[in-house]
Amino acid sequence: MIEVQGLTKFYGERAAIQDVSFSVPRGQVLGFLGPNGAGKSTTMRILTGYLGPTSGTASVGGFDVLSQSLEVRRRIGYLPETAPLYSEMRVAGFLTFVCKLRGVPPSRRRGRVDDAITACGLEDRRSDIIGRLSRGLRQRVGLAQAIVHEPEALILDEPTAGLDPGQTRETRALIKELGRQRTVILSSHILSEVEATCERVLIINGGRIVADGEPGRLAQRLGTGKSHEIVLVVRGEAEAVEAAIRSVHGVEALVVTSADGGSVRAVVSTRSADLREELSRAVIDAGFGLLEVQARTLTLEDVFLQLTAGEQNQ
Amino acid sequence: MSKSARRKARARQKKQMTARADAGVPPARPAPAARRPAPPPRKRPAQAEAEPSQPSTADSLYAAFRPTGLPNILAIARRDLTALFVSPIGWVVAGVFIFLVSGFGFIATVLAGQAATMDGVFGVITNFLMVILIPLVTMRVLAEERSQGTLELLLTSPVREWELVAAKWLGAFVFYLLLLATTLVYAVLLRVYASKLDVGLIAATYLGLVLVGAAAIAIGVLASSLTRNQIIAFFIAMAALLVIWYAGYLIGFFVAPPANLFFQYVGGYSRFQSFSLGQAAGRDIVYFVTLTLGALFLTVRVLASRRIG
Repeated sequence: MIEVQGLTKFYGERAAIQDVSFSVPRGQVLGFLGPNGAGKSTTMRILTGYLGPTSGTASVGGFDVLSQSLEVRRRIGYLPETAPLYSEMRVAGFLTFVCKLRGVPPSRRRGRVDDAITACGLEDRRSDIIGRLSRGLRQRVGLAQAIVHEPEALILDEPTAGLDPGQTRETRALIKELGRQRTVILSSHILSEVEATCERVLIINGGRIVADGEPGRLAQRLGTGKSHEIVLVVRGEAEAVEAAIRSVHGVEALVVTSADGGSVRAVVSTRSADLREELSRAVIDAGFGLLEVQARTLTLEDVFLQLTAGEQNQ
Repeated sequence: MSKSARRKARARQKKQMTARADAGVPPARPAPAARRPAPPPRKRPAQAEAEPSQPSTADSLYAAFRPTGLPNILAIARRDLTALFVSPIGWVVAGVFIFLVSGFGFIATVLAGQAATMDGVFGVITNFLMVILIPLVTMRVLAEERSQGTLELLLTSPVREWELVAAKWLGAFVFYLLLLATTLVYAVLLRVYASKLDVGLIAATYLGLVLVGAAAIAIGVLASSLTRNQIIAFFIAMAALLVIWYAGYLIGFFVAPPANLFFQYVGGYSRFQSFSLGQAAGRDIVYFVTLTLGALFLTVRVLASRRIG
């Protein structure tokens, strides 16, 4: 569905992306992971035909993004980083306007607008003025405009930025659902988000693709050989808790801080694998109340530190 | 799943969320949220629900005209025009225009000056509207789209650059025609109360004003495409209009013949004068039409330049 070959884009002297190649089969949900300024938005803008590449080619549905731009644009729905909205328009009016631009025939517009409004949970906001909506709601209107014409491919630039946790979860579910019938590329700088929604992830840094694979395996592969962190919340006295935790074999570093409600928060570093069970047992055997155990998941920063460190070593 | 079932499912989710929060569990951090089971998937409503199987007449008309770009142009121009009347700028410009035309153009010239002429009205339009009010109207058309990010919305939709530019020009031009139409009141008043009135002269002048306006708006649209800052767009447009209308005309006085003929020829003001003298000469019409199309063509090139690597 989407083919990218040796894409390079220079802004003046600076390369935003360099020699980026990948292909996305129909129906796949691909996550584009990278810090701000890594080149995610630039790649997406080239795919949508908004920007032209310095060199390389890209095609969507077999149509070249430069020479057959109009055909490409008929097939995609795009949500830029900041939702492109006219603040003086009302939600339904705006979506109808977008329908007109995207070539939805007049008799179908009402149905498509209603579908998009329902899918994005905007039923009771349809006649609100967009400029008065909260950031989260605006983002949802942005998502609604991307899907209103039922495109074959969706390109979403940080679709959950600015949403609260509940909305984030709903949006992820919606993207997953949309991804059943169509190709989706979404960008994010949150690893867990990509893990939750995407079948495949591309990690991009400094304008180059540094990793490509299934999200679970990628984190696993990159996570091995690295020290683990486990966070415990325990009800009890700080020094006694510290002593109990230290008694567990394999604990290398420990930071205990007091939390609210007479409990303490202990961050344990280990090199050997998961110590959650041993730690829980030690805490409970010592007679404390164990409130929470959490293995800290690999963050994007960790992945990056590793990837960039690997690059420097080569 | 029906609509109401979906609503209920969402309400249930919300309840669960608040229940979790009450139990002292921190609200969904990104990481644990990933492992929780996904909320019940939304089913997309069946297409048949809202979409009739037989395309209507409107649909076939739309399909026939879509390749021409006309539906896109009309949709964008209409949105722009509506936005002008929703925002204060449209009303301010209209208010100032009507105040000046009535005050200086009509009351001062016709009522106080006792001259049955439209010269005052036309003078206000050419001197003030063309140089200040048109840039005020056109400054936002593309600069605002750029700064709001909506230019990206328009140009990643199947809308060609020239369609967008034509629509932007058309929206402002219709607004200009509406302003111009308000001055017809004075033409009618003069026709009723004045004994002798050269209708041909007035008609020629109106034709000239329509053409000058078309060119001025095209130049304003071009200025607006160059920047994301509306104030800068305003000053670029005003400077360009001053130069094009008057510079050639003024330079013409200081240059020895035959060079002065050239400067007078390219100056917009001298081209407009023939209309206000009652002649609608072909070469003057060509001049303004060329100016309009040239500026719009350049705007298309400016918009398209982003796609050059």
